[in-house]
Amino acid sequence: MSGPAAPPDLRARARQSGSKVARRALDQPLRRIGIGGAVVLLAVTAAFGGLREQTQDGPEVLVVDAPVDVAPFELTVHRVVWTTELPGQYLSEDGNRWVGVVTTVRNTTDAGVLGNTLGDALTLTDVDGLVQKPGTLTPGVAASSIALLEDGSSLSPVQPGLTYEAAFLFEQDGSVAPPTSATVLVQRQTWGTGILDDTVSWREPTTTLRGELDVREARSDADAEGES
Amino acid sequence: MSVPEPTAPVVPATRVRRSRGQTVGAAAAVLAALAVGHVVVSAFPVDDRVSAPFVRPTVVGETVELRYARLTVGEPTGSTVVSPAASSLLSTPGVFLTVPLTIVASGQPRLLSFAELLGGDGRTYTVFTSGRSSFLAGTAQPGVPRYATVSVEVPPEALPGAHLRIGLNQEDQRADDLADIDLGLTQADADAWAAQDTPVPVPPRSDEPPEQP
Amino acid sequence: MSTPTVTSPREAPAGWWRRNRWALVALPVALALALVASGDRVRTLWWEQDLRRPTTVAAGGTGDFHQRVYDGVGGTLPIDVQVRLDEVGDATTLPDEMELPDGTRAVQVDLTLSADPDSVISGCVLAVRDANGARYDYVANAWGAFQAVIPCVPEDTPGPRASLGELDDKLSDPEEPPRPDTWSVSRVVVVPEGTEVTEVVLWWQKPQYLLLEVPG
Repeated sequence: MSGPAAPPDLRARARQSGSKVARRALDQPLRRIGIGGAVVLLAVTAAFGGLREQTQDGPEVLVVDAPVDVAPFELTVHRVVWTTELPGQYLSEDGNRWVGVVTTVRNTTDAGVLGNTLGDALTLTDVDGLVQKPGTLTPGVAASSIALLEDGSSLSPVQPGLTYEAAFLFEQDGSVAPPTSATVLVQRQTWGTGILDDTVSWREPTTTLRGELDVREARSDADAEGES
Repeated sequence: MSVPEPTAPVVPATRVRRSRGQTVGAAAAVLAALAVGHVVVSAFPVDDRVSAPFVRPTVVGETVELRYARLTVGEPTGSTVVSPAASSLLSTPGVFLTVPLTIVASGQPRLLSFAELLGGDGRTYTVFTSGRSSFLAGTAQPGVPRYATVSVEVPPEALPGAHLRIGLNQEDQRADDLADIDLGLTQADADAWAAQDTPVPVPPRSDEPPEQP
Repeated sequence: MSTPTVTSPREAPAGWWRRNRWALVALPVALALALVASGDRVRTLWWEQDLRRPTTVAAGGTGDFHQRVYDGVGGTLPIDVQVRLDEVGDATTLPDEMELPDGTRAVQVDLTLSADPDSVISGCVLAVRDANGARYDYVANAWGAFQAVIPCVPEDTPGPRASLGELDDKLSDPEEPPRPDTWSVSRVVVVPEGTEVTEVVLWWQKPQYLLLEVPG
């Protein structure tokens, strides 16, 4: 029905009243009133929790050595290196190598988080031959482990109030040439409940920064040393 | 809604106007009720209070009775380096706090798996079953004391006034007993341990009492 | 509201109580049903998660235990065993390498069981209880010792295990002799000193369990 929606007597009264607004409003076809009404109704739902903050669109460029706020962390990416030997870390096959993203990590919230939340915060892509497959929820490939540079242990839980120097480690197939560049994706997460489950946790990793960084071979004294 | 009678020359306009006004009024009332309901539900933390754990406070050296066990906490100690049972040395930019516990299960074998540190700085420090901050007591036979150690990595400012919380279920502490131990730590303790780099051992869980130094 | 009808002067309008009498009769029933229905989780999430339905065997008697348990891969397995409690007492010899902590004692539980050699009964748990109802579990690998992992079957001939699908071929030992029709086991449970064991309990899947009374 595309004719005016209002009943004829109402429109007649509107014409008689001389108000242009009333006449225009009542002359609208049903479709427009329906849409208008729906918009008003949705806006009204703001009064009882219907509105949610919308995220920005498009990831920004990741800059080396610049700290970025990606809830629940503040991450600073320093460099991407590769190496064939890392004390305390075990490759799944001889000849494979580690590609490591060296970072500074801080938990900026008031509660400790487990290592798997940190694993969602930084992923790697555009590197051939990574052993780990890209995830389903998080873009890119997640690190197989995140090692603290100081003692080689796995960084979990990540406590607030401390600044950690850690390397996100990705295993690469030895038959592929070592990478010369890689794209690092940094994700921000939201604290809340899921649609299907009631538990509150950090979820919905969304890429907010991406950077194409050079990759070079690690110098022998530079990276993750394990305390033997 | 009224059906306009074909024979009547004038549709009774007053009746139409009143029922339309009633409809709009009813819709406005529904929306207002939803808004008020939202405000009420979000203003008062009813859900939190109904499902809150039963917190049993205690101090170092005193035994606290929980529904599932009797817990006694020993003297805490700390350093920047710990030597855990199952892994190589761990070192931290902050401080490792280690607290020995004695657990006597009651009623049936109990697996205490929840531990958490409420820092004096207002932050919550997470403890898992393994990793850099860990608590692994295992299943304790009732009446047979189980000795286990909690190890937490914290910044030094978290230590003065810190409380350790121990519970049964790691994922869910609602509506069950939760021990809250005031560790009695001071800034002096924090400063001393932050300057220490002698490794502090984190012994594995055991039913043999730890050797007294 | 419907328009008021003209009532005959001889009939007075029925009172509220009279008009609603059947609803009032149904109200307590409906309330009770609502409570029971919404409290169903108390049964499934709490009551059934402990030992609640005993098959009690008097001292010296042999108990017949039947249950259909879930096998973990969507089906059920029948448990049909006869169990007799032979003896409960201080363990005369400790299992190899067991070191009792101070303040504890070792209690030896001797059972004789019979079951069809082809039946799977390997998912059992053994414990003892005292007069207060406190339960002390049998732990195979604890206090330095390595006792049989499954308390209710012979160590050398445990008989068939629950199917794990494709892994069955790799896990089964075709040379292993079958489980006998009847066998005895002797297991050591560590309890605090001063505990008086009054019951031995054996179960496969809660809430059903076998309760063997200890004589004396």
